[in-house]
Amino acid sequence: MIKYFGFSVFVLLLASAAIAQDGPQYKQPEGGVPVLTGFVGFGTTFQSGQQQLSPTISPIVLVPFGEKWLVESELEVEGNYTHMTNQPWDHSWDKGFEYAQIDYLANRYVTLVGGRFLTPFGIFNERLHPGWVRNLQTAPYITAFEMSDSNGGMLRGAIPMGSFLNINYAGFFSAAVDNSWEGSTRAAGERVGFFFPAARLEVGTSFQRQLQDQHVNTFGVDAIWQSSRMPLDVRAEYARNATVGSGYWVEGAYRMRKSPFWKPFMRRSQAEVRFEQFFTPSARNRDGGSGDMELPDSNAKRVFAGWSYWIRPDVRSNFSYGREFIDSGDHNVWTVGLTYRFAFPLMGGRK
Amino acid sequence: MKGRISVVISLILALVLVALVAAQTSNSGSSGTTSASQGSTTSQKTEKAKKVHLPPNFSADEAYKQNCTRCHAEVPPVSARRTKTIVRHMRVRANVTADEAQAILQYLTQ
Repeated sequence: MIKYFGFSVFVLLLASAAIAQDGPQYKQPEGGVPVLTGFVGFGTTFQSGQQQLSPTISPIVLVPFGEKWLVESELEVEGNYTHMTNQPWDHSWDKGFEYAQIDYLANRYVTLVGGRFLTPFGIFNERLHPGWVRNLQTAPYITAFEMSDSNGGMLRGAIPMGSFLNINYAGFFSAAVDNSWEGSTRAAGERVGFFFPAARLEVGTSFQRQLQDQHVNTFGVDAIWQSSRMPLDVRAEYARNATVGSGYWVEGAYRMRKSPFWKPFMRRSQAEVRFEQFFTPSARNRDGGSGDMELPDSNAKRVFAGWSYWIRPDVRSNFSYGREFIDSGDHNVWTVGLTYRFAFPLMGGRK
Repeated sequence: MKGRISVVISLILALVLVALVAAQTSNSGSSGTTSASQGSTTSQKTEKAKKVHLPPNFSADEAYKQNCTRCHAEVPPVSARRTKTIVRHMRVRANVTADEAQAILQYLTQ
């Protein structure tokens, strides 16, 4: 325990050194207003013997109070219209609150969150899951057991360590809630990210322990890197759960701003590619199963190449082609999608 | 398992310690800012605006590039007051530091 206390003191000293710095002053506008934001999207997926249409609407309400409070909530309604060869169309609508939380900005380095929130595990769930943010419409395999919602409390924030390093963190506890709109599992976990501004590199680690049923752990590692020389982003994530499986994805996106040809079209375009693999758990752990998670029944890998084009800064169209390699039969996956991101003031705030 | 739990507890303890010290330092820093700004000649509206500190060599442009574009390929522009609310939302969502959030707000509203 002494060495952990020593580590705590070390972090404390580093933070104190960073805080001691000072710099130029700026003046900020006053008065944030309540905002209705979010996106509307329509996606289609075509693969061998199956076509799927997925309309989605995801409104987010943001209501700031004073300088330290924010109430935020996202409702997601997603339709799934599926057609299998020689069968009639089947459809269902999934709806639920992605989050409904109260944030208290306790100080520059700590935010307290209470209510229902996106589980802070990896980078996809919290940052990339909205359809208008993610590069490719199809979510990676491992997000099936990473992406979840929690009901409880969370402590989070970021601590700058000078200009060299920013540490961001989130620790949470979630209670078990059995509700189709707001369900969650009893669990506790954390994510700690280390962002190196000069290198534009963030490396994060995540841990989550389920505190009911099988009491299993999930571990994760993630990274985001942006080139400072070219408009290139690289993101990657690995996650492992003993009873569900493990896997990783690596994704690159290149903004075509510097293209020497077709400039009006290319400056609004982005090329994307992703490779991912999923490994089923060993036989001795397989009894737990993956429940209703949409995970492959066997080891699988998938590669995607996509293209996004912004019709306007808030309207994005995208297209992708992928191929999945799996025991049940290799097949192609095509997707086409359109998203519109909106942000309206609920009162005032036109200017 | 106990060792792992100890690591997590120690990390949380360390972060809480940092937060407490940071809060103290932040309060003392802001009082100094107020006194330093008394001599400035600005409009009444601007005088009400909150002053913030940025680290040396830290530009609003860099703050935007380093944080927003990590996830967003495109950030549609909206009005200043809506932007302020959205930046607060993103400060929580993406664990952006307070200084960076202020710098990003400056970048997006100027």
